[in-house]
Amino acid sequence: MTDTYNYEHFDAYVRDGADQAEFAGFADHLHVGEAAPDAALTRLDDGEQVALSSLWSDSYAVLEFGSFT
Amino acid sequence: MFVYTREAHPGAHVPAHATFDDKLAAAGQLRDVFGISRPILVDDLDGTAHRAYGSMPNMTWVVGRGGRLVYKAEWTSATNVEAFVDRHTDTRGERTAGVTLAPYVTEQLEHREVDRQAFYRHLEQRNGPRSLAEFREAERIWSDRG
Repeated sequence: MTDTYNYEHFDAYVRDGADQAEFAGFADHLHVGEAAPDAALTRLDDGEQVALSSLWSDSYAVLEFGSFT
Repeated sequence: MFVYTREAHPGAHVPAHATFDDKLAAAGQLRDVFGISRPILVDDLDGTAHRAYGSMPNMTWVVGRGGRLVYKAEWTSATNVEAFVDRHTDTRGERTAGVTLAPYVTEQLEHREVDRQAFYRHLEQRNGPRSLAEFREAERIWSDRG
């Protein structure tokens, strides 16, 4: 899964149609009104593991996903 | 909250993450180069959180208190997200004042500002000529798809 997920070449990823599959799937994948998926992530500041669910236990959470590029 | 995912346009400076340490280091660069002050959470190498939320390269989700998804966006526009949060927060104020409210779901088409030339420049600066060349090749493929 790591090899497929962390593609090395953006053009190959697009040529394979992987972008199309992911964009097409997004509309149906998860919806407002449903429960937010939980996951364990690493906080950059201190390296601690954080459960996503801890972020919305007291108040709303805005999650922006992204990378350097 | 910023969730750091796989590198959307791998290149010379930040190639595809091979180890989790690579990913942590790249997230650190992101924080320093962009001067991000909000907390950055790094997803695992397999992209568990990224994939759980739909794998888009720059999506924004808002989760209401208690864990219900209240906002879903394929791309990120800070202006639009802020406007939503303000409206959402206002709603909570009304509820406190004794007004009865019921939730309903909408689907909306939003717009975000796009500056393609600036994107090319930044991509080349940040991750080298190859990452830009690959993006241009992707554009040709998209155009052929029609």
